[in-house]
Amino acid sequence: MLTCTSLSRIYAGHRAVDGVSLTLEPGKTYALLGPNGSGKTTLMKMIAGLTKPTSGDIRLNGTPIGPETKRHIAYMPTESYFYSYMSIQDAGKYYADFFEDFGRDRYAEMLTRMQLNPKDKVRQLSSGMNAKLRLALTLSRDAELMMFDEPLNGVDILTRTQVIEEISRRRDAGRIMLLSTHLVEEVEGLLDEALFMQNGVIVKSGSLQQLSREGTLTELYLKIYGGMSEAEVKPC
Amino acid sequence: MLKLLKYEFRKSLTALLVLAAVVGAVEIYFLGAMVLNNTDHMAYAMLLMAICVYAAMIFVFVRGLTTYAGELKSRSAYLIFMTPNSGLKIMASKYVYTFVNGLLIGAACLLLAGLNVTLFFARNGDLERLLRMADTLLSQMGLYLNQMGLFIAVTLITALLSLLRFFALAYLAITLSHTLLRDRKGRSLVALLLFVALEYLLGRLQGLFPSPAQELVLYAENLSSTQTREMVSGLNELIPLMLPHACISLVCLLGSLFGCGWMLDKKVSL
Repeated sequence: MLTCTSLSRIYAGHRAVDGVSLTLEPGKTYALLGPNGSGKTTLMKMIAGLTKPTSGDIRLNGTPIGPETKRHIAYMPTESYFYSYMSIQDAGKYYADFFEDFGRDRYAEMLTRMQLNPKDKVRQLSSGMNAKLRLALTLSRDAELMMFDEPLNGVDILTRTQVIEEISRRRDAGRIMLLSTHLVEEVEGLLDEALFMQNGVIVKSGSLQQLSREGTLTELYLKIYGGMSEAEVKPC
Repeated sequence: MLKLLKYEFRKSLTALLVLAAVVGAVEIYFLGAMVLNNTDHMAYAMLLMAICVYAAMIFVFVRGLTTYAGELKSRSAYLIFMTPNSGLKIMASKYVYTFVNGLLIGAACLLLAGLNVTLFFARNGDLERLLRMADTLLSQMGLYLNQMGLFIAVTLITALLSLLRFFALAYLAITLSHTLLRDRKGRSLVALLLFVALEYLLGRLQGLFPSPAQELVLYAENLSSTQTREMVSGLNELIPLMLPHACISLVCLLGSLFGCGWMLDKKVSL
């Protein structure tokens, strides 16, 4: 279980994340929704341990975020993050070296399914192929918490379907899946719960069942970010 | 930590190959001059190799620093910081790799330089006679090579610690600057200012202890040929004066390592 308590992150006077408290339970897939600048990436990076909170607490199964929790968290950043000399194979070897739960066979299978050549240099990949590589690396781990930051960004429609299928394959009773996206309707079938962020705050959250009483996720998205007044959007 | 070291090495492989090529070129220059029996060019090559000893070490140290500074600003830092390694382990791998690598490369160049000198004198003179001449000259000043071993060793260690401390403070300044100015411009300038401030404070601290260099100069000024015995023991008496400076350097080195490790764990954001 992941718990965040009164989590805040302030960048040069700007509150990227503002007093967020949430609990994510194993066996569920969560969507973190919101426009650019709403705080989704910052929140994910804090959970991944890449960004330190200004205040607040994050714990995975009661353990504060640190080297120990990083063994159990797989994070797919939205940007490329590889060393310039790396090939696709090198990236896999790196993950295998540092993450005990990294499955080399699973990685090889995913590369085949995604039509990625292990010998190709990462710096020469297109944005779509780079996204597939990042996804393959993340999904080849057996982590308790898997986070995907905009996994559908920069990929074509066919690849998006493939990405959603691959993420769906890795859902597990003991695993928390958290993904952020703008393409709400494409991921709706995957989700158990959704969290809507705006200006660093979670303005709405709930199970899909609960939220469906107010409309589809897309309708809710437009309602929340489509210029409603603050009084009409009740923060959680 | 071995895995972290492996990737530190792999990241800098290209630069190391370039360095090896430069040193190799200097050595080929020397060997070519030797084959052509050109004493002048042999001497130039030996001088270049002597410069390589120091320059290679400094290159590795500086490159380690610039790579670290660049890494904290780039996405590739995610690769290290997503792994289940503490900040201390990450920092230790960088220190061990950069400092040990720099020293090993410097030592390798020194060996090559020594080999070149041996080859030079094998061709152009008697090395043993030269060493005897040097020994005679020094003994007239009251210095005996075979009795100066401890002094030379301690001086070298103190000098090396001082050099490593210099770069360790630079790592600390870079990490401090990134901690303070994560989202603002001017990190490089602030790092430089912090480094200068740290070096200044350290200089003031070391100034509280007698300076071995100053004592050596005073001793040499008071030298006379009748004081041979006192000169030898005098040099060894300088060793205790070097120890506080060596200790300060060691403490700074360790302090920087643990300080950077703590900041990477608790404060630094990517």
